[in-house]
Amino acid sequence: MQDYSIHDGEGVRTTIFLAGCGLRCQWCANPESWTQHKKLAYHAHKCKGCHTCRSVCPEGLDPASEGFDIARCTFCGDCVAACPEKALQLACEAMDADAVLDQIRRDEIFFRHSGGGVTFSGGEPFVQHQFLRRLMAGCEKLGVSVWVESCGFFKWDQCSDLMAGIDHIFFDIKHMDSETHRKFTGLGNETILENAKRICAAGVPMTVRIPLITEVNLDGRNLTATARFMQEHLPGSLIELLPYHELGKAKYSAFRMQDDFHAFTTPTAAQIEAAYSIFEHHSIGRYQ
Amino acid sequence: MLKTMTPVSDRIERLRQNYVNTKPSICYERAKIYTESHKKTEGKPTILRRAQAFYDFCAQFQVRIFEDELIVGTAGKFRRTGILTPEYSWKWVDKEMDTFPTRPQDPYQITPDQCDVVRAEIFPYWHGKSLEEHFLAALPEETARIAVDTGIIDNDSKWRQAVGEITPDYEGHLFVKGYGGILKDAEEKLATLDYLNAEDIDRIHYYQATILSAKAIILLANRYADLSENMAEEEADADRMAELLEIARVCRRVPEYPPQSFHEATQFIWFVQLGGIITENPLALNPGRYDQFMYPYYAADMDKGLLDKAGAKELIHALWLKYSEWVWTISENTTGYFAGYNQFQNLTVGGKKRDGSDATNELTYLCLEATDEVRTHQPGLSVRVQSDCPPEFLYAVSDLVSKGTGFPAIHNDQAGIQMLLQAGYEPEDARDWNNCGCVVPHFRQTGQWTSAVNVNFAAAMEYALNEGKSRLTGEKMGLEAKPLADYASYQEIEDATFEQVGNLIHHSVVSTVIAQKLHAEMVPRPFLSTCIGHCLEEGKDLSRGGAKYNVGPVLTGIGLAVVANSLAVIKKLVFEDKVTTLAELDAAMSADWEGYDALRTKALAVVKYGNDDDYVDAIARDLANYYYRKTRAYKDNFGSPFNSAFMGISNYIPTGRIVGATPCGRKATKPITEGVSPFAGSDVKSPLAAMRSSAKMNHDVHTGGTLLNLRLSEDLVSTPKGKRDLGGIIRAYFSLGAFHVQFNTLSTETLRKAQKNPEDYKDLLVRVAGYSTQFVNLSPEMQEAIIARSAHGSY
Repeated sequence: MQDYSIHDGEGVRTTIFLAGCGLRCQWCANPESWTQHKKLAYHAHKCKGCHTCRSVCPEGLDPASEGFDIARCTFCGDCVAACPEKALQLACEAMDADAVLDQIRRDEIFFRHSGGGVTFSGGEPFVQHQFLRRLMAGCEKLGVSVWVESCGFFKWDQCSDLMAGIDHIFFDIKHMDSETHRKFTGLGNETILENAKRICAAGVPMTVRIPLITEVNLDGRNLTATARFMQEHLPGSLIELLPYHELGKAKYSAFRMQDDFHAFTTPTAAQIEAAYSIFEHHSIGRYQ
Repeated sequence: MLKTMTPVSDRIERLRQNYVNTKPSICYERAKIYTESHKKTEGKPTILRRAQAFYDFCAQFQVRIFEDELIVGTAGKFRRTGILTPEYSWKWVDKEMDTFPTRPQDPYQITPDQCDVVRAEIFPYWHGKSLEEHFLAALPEETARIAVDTGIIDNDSKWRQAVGEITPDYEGHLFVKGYGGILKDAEEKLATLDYLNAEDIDRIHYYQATILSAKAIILLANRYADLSENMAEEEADADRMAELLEIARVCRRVPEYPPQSFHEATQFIWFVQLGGIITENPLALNPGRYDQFMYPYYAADMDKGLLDKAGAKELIHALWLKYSEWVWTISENTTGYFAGYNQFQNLTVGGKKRDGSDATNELTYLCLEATDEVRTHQPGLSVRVQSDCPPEFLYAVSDLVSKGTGFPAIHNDQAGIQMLLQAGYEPEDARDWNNCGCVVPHFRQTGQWTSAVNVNFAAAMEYALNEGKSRLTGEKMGLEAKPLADYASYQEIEDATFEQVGNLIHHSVVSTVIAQKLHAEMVPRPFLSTCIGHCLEEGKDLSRGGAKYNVGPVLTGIGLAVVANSLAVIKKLVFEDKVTTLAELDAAMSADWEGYDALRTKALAVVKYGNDDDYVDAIARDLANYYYRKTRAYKDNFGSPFNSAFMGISNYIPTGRIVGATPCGRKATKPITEGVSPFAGSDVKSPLAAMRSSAKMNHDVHTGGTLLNLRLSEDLVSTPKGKRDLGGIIRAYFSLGAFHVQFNTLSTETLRKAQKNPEDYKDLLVRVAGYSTQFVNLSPEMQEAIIARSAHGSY
């Protein structure tokens, strides 16, 4: 959970990251949220090699070593608490809905005065639709606005009832060509585009987000196709372009996922503006 | 670095460069003239001697007008000048002046020759006569040992210095009467009094001193007018010549007559400030509600076409520079508490009018802009945010926050009003409050010691945990206490800690009332008393309770968070989890945690104040409530109850130096905590959680003010949306009843420091991508990425 978020919707928001996602986007900045199981991050640059973690591990593991056997880790957190350098960190911890709602309740005063609320993000928040349903019911009781950030890949039938409770959705469209989409994310885009239409039809205000990546989707053809799709099927939707950044890189090594890391190129400011102009040309407003 | 990025006139830029690049110098002229004067007036009533000395200064001091100046007047011969006031204290100057130029904090220029003159011609006269010497002689031994230069309880700014802590009443008094009017009133009052009435004698002396003081300041202004006229005659540049003639005209009029223009009012304010500086070298001589009392002059000049915004801004800039140029001459010990050449001249804008309606006007915004434009450290700009203030005002406040200057200090208007009502003010006066010094809500017709004593809570706790002794020196400084291992319950330890705090409060009160009594006898304040109408009405000096409101002195608690954090560690690790014993903890603290790394890690892991967790926040609240009740139970020499406060300034550094390791995990001599702020770096959750923790204290009863400093990532306030959101957060925080918050936004420089000393910057949040995280928790590579982004703005 992250409070005082100002980039995930109107006002001051508390962003709740729900783990689990069907896509494997090669540029993902939050790879620890791909799966729901607990994880232990090891930040090698902070470790001073004191081996305190090894000495406290009830399983006799050494979280700081190359050969750390994650399969035997019980994620008890003893090493995290003991590490004097704070080089270890648990991710994807289980929280019950009441604990999440308690935090939302604490932040409510800040939502009220700034026009903010809660943003569910991920992972893909609809993957944990049952949990999401309970949290959204809690938000409704508290009168807290709900925004969602979705990659679009989820089963519509499981989630359609949630749409009425969403005040705004950020919806990712990574590429209009299904094969290219599959190449970079592991899956085709059919379900995603279908879901986009359905959400729009359900009346949820939508902002389409494109993670803008030079090697992937910066070409005029793709952007024009996206704009046309929006014009035709997503009436009233806005566009926001998020230029690729490398800030997630350190996470891949911390979570021992180096093999999954791919480097891309950040578009220039001029390229970003040119991309926006394509959408402008199709009368699609920019999310501000 | 020193180049201004904002629009100021060329003249202001030159003045600004001079201010930035000039080291302050000590000028002994004032001390010399005062000393010579006092030699001639021995045996006369003290108040008259002080007024005569002021008059002699105004008559004899060689006045100067410096290049480019629009607003004129200095208390010494330098632009950036500090003065000496040996009648308060000369001993510390004697001891320290040779190292003035080389001391690490707030150095002053003074040459060995000048030091010789001071030692030969000035100080000998004051042997045995200064306030400091009388105070130290009067202080009971058991109070003196913990109150004099110890860092335990500290009030040396009240016996090595004048009090200051006054807001001249421009609106209702000075601008209405002018000093000519005050003089006339005093003469009329004097005519009604008779030496044959015993109770009249003090009042006769008071009015005589008032007349002398008024004549003095009028004389000084006229001498500036003479000089300006003479300089105009010699001036080759026609524009400057016209300016000098205008300065001369203005100085002929004010402060003798009520001001009739924005320029006259500005110069009037500076002459009053100058009078205060010359007579007292005071801390916290506050401009007050500048946007209120100056607005009529601004509006009238604008209406008449005599002034445009640029002209008004230039005068504001010039005044801001004047506030910043003079220096409050203070001892090295005092610099620990009030670092940064800070004179604590607090200027307050916004809030409500006396009738309860919104007070913001065009001048309010000009003050916010000017503070960004000249980037001077003075005046201390405070804003009052009231519930229905215009959104534009709140936005302007956030915008100034985003500039990273630390200004403005942001205050909850409702809490300020509540504090004044609680202190006994009439509702209209309560609504008309301004800040005094740092964060003390105050009203311009008030006599109060708003920063009387700093009380070190962490030291008190140390005495409870260490048999009444200092852990660093082994000396017995507190009340008798049993060995730590003998305590049977957490509650017993908490009670013992509070009791030690109570003892420090007691000695603080003793020290204060003795100082109060001596101030009234030895250093009456004839000039600053002219700034408060009620003194003139009653014929009574400020130091004797002449103001309309005489509010009790403020005791500032320091180290609230350290004590709460430490008690929480004892409660959790010793009594609940039983992972350590009191004996082991005692040994760890005596060893400054050396060899107890594992225990320290556990102590650091116990939740800390500032994370919205009642486990520890409730202890802080209980301590704050106890502090309020205890403090409030004492009365000062005027019968007014003492007031509690949790202020900041820089007092958490020197107070930390004398305290050994604390159970919270802090190491010996490290800083403790300021105001109601969390321990640096321990509010790891978020600024919102820190605000919620702080708001749990009952701010409105701590009528001496409360303070919360928070760091904010620059990019949270770099966009219009970010600024609007910050406004929402401020409103939310205030709706919880809190009084003050001040934000530091982060520059690249700060991020670089954080890279070097990650331990001190653990709380530094930066936005990464869709989420925010602690900067120090990022890899060096990512830190570079973030720094690069901050420098280029967000993308």
